Amino acid sequence: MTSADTLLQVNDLTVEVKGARGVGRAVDGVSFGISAGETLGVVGESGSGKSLTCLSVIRLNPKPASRIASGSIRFDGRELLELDAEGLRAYRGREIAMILQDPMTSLNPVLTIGDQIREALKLHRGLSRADETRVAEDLLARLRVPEPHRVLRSYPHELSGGMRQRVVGAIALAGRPRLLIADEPTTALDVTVQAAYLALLRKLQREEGLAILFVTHDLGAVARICDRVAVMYGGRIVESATTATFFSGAAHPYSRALLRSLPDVSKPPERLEPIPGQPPSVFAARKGCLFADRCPEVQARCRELEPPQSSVAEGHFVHCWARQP
Amino acid sequence: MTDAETPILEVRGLTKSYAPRTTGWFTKPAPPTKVVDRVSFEIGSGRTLALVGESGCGKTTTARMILQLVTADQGELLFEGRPLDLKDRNMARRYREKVQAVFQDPWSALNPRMRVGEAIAEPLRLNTSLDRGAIAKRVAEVLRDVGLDPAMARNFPHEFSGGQRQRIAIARAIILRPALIVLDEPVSALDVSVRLQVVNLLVEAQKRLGMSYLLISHDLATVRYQANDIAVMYRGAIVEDGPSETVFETPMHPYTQALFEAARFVQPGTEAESDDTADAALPTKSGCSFAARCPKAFARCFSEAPSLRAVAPKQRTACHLYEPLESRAETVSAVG
Repeated sequence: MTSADTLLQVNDLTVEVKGARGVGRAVDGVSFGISAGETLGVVGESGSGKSLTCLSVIRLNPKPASRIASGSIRFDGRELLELDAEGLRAYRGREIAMILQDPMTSLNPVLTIGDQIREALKLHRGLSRADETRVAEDLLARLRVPEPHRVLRSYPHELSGGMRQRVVGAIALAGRPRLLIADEPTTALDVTVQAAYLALLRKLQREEGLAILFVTHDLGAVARICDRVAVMYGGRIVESATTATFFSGAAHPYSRALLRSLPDVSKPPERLEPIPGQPPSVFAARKGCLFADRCPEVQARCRELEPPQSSVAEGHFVHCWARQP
Repeated sequence: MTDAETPILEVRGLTKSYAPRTTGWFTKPAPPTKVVDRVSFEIGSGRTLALVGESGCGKTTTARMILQLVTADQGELLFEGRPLDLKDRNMARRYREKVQAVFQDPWSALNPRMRVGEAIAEPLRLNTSLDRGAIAKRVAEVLRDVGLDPAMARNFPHEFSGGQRQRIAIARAIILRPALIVLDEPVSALDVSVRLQVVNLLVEAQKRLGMSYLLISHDLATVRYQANDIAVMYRGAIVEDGPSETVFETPMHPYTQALFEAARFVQPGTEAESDDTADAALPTKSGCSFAARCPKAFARCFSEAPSLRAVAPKQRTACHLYEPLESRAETVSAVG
């Protein structure tokens, strides 16, 4: 799976979380790779482990509530799990930047936008004060923020949600990262603003050759921006494929059920089939396939043994007993 | 009770504005901002009207005025054909009984210290004189209606998942057999795989009990799946309304078109060149509130606000594009 141009390679990552009901595996043996200039969409619902996976990549998983139990995270050939706090600083914000769901919690309400972008520039680029302002304006302009000069002197509350998320994007790009982790970056935005933001991310990625790890529950956003998709369920990746293959020929029963249960706004309503049951709890027993209870194609062994990975086609993998060759 | 022709609820010219906080002793108070501006619509018996639009467009404020959680500055409500007068105690009581709500967040909708059976029974205890046995029987019935085990009535809210809690909220809303339920983003907080279960539950409950729904949502795909009629709001005003299928098939207002285009599923690889600055434009002071963002705006859009008028038998839109200049005098802004 590892190729020469793989920028980030995560292997067999397991993250444990502590709760009232003991220790659960929120991320369970997750492996994936991202090349430069590629967008990987990690899709899943809440509790699937998608956000924790991404936070763990730069070791920002909440502590002591969670702990990286095992696995390897290699960035540009360097093992991130071996780095100490000082070593990590060279990666956080500089090589790997992040955009989170709610821009209001990412920004400091009492500092101006300019202060916050300049802070990132000072930390990561060591520019002079005059250069900082020039580069900050340039960053805002690249994120298509109108009147960057005025916005630099504004406070977060003076901007709309979409503009705030653009500012967060500008801060993320301030360190000239090679990998951008975007965790539900458009979920808090209105639908017209979402489309604009995704188009912008796509454009920036082309211009900068950025790799993007895009975490979402929104399959519509995946279709718009991702090159490849990894579907997570119960802390495991159950299927990975190119976006085109995923939408035309998803193999895992969970992926298929997800696609079937999405109403399509451009078609008159037809009967849709909901997925029965509930997603599994992080603390539930981890025996067999975790989707078995909700699966229309369940077999006896599904409840006993975890399904191994099998290849459907080149670059298309699935974990499902019903798809074993 | 009401014949099919009389709408369950008619909303006429509902308006609400909020005055901004003044900052100093000598600063002139800024003019109040209209968050809902002369909104009119009607909800037919047994039908679902969806109110859609982006955050801040006034859809939730409209819902809250209907629920009497926010007092309207102007406008009136007609319930079952009669003007709603809350000073008439019988009428107020009937309105509170017949109009129920389900909100977005099923975590904050239920009292964590109340067994769900008690929470569901509360509307019955307050509004009817049923004895304990009869109430318990009704609670078990509605729990079954929403797909939960009646034995779960003894449990506390924290023992349920989000989807189950929303089912409980729905059970509490339907136990009085309301005529109208205001659904404010009823599935937005739920997991994707659970959303459709709850949508289908709402659709089935409506078929069985004949209720009307006012559905507030920003999820257009679910709206198309669920609604009979749709009203699109932009900056406090309805810019287009009509039967859902008509509006989805032939949206007239440029904002509706932009909204639907943004929500459309884009096949991977078939890059839609969306405008990456769509949200950047600031609203104009006069004229149409969408003019600054509108790709089809012309001079008149910046000087004069268009009013809502019929463009097809049941479809109305507020846009100068569809307004013949000579017939401007006939323009009607209220519900026809």
